[in-house]
Amino acid sequence: MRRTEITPDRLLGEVRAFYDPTRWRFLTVNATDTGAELLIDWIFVPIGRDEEPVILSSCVAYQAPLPSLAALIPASALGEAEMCDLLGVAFEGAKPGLFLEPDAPRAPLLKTPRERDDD
Amino acid sequence: MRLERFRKKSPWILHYNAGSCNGCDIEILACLAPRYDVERLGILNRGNPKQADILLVTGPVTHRSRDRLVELYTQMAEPKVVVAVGSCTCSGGIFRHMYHVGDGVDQFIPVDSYVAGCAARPEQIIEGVARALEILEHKSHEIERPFQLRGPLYCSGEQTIRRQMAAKVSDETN
Amino acid sequence: MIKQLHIPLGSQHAALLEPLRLDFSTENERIVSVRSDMGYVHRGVEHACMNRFDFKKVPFVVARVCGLCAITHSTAAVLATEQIVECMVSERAQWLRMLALEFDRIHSHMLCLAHVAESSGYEALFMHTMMERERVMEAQEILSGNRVQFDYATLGGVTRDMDSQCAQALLAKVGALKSVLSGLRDRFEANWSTQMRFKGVGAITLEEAYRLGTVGPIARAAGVRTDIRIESSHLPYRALGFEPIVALEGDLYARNRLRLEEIAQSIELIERILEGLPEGAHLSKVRGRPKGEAMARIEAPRGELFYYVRGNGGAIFERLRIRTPTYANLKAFEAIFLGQEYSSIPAILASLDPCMSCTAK
Repeated sequence: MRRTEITPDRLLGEVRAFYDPTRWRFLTVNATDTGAELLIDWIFVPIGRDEEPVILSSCVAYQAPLPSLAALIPASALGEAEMCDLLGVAFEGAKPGLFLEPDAPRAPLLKTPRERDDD
Repeated sequence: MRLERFRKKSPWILHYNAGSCNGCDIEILACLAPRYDVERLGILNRGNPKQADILLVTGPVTHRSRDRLVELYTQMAEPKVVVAVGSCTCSGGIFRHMYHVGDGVDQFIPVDSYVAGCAARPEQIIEGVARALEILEHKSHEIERPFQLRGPLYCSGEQTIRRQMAAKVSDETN
Repeated sequence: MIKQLHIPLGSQHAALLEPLRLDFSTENERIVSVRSDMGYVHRGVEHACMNRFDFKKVPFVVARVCGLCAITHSTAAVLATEQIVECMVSERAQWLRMLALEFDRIHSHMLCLAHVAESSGYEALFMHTMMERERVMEAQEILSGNRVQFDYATLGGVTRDMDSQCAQALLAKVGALKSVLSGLRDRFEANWSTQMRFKGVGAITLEEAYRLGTVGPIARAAGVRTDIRIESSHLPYRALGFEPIVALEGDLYARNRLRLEEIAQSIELIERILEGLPEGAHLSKVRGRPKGEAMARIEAPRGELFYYVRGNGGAIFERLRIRTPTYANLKAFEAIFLGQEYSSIPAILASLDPCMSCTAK
């Protein structure tokens, strides 16, 4: 897997520079808890040809706010909502509750799951 | 003429997927199709709890579907039977102790017939339903209650209002 | 006069096989907005694969994400894991995996077609399609020993080898299916009544299909030439001379026709696989533990299925991510529903072939 390191604030510019919906499909956004921080990957795959996917990636702190791609790529909203729900990633405009019920654990895919803030 | 005799001849099914993988659901669909054809036993699949005699449940009951399941159960008229189809429905199966499931349907509602298997074969499902029908014959009109998530049951005159029984997640079940 | 109506569909509904909630707002009969809730089936499979099950069990666990496309889930998990452990998979095992995948595609497409027929009011056509589908279920049982959850793909190969007797039986099954397929196509395509019902309903344009990132039959029916069987080289589909089928109209009729054509194509692929099946071991040893990261994509019946695995040398994965085809198509669903008549919704929904167990994991 070949990654292109970016910083979150450059994400929209980078995507605008190469993203052509007839040539590239936004696969998904993925977050991985590496133990110290979150590794965020935005994965784009070519349509109709067997080539390397483009992976933009960025290491961020757990609660760091991240930009949303939803304005550019409507399909990205769902992935962002899922990452917000399961890993507590603070994507712009994403709210938890896509999958998890109020009495489920918070951000269960983190290595140290967050305490539920019962108020 | 007694209704009990004829109820067994045309039991209608209500099918609810409470978080199963679809494997058992497509086998239930296969049961309704010509090869296994449960219609010869008078069984029809109708998506209406008020008309159904048998509740076919699949899945380990995910958190989000639990109150829907209980609500469907309470909306069914007595006498009714519940058939748990599939290993995960009986005990949680492979999903047991996952963070978003409640290990098996019998944690929530009384189950009359268990069908094991992942996925359950159509023959097994038919057998489980046939077993449930025998139980149905001996059931009375006494109201059966779910085990969890129940609010109060209201009786106003002739009518029994069951809706509240599935109203909210009660505190002690959390 | 315009009358506004709010119609919820689901989570339990006669036209739905699985829990999905759609909230429609309509003006008279026409849909003006839709909101979906697809989290009813969330069980937490990813979490269990990252905490409780070791990597050798994961292919069997993820098969339970979805029973319709169980084999695609376990194959994708296996293809991803094999890149980061020491393991030599024989050519024969890869071909057998393709065989199971194609059988799965046929049975899933036939189920979808049957469901479309039922949801649009053709009860007899539903029964007819389901009857023919049983041939595929039997073929799957011959191949693997079970009808639905057959856990065929495993690390290092497949769980059961195939002898010539089995191959003959499979050929007989697909041969029989081939002979009835033209009758089925006649009923779905050439019938005046079904044409009236399906043509121009639930359409998506090519631009929308690109913009919303659709995958699978929905995208191909709208004219997008996308199929992971040519976009990835994990499985040797090129050796079979595979070419994706593309339709243009993007409506319900085109999706039905595309699925029927894909069934015919899968039958052809199965015949070619059974003809040219290489010799070798069906299962080889797996050494070591997963270290590093890998991704795998395969074409599930509904479109692109993506797996990402990451191991740190332990027996349990550090991260497993599943992105399923319905998940990618959900935005397109909403776009397709807008402007349609409410009475067509069950048929359109069935033809989009949503798989909620996949989506919510």
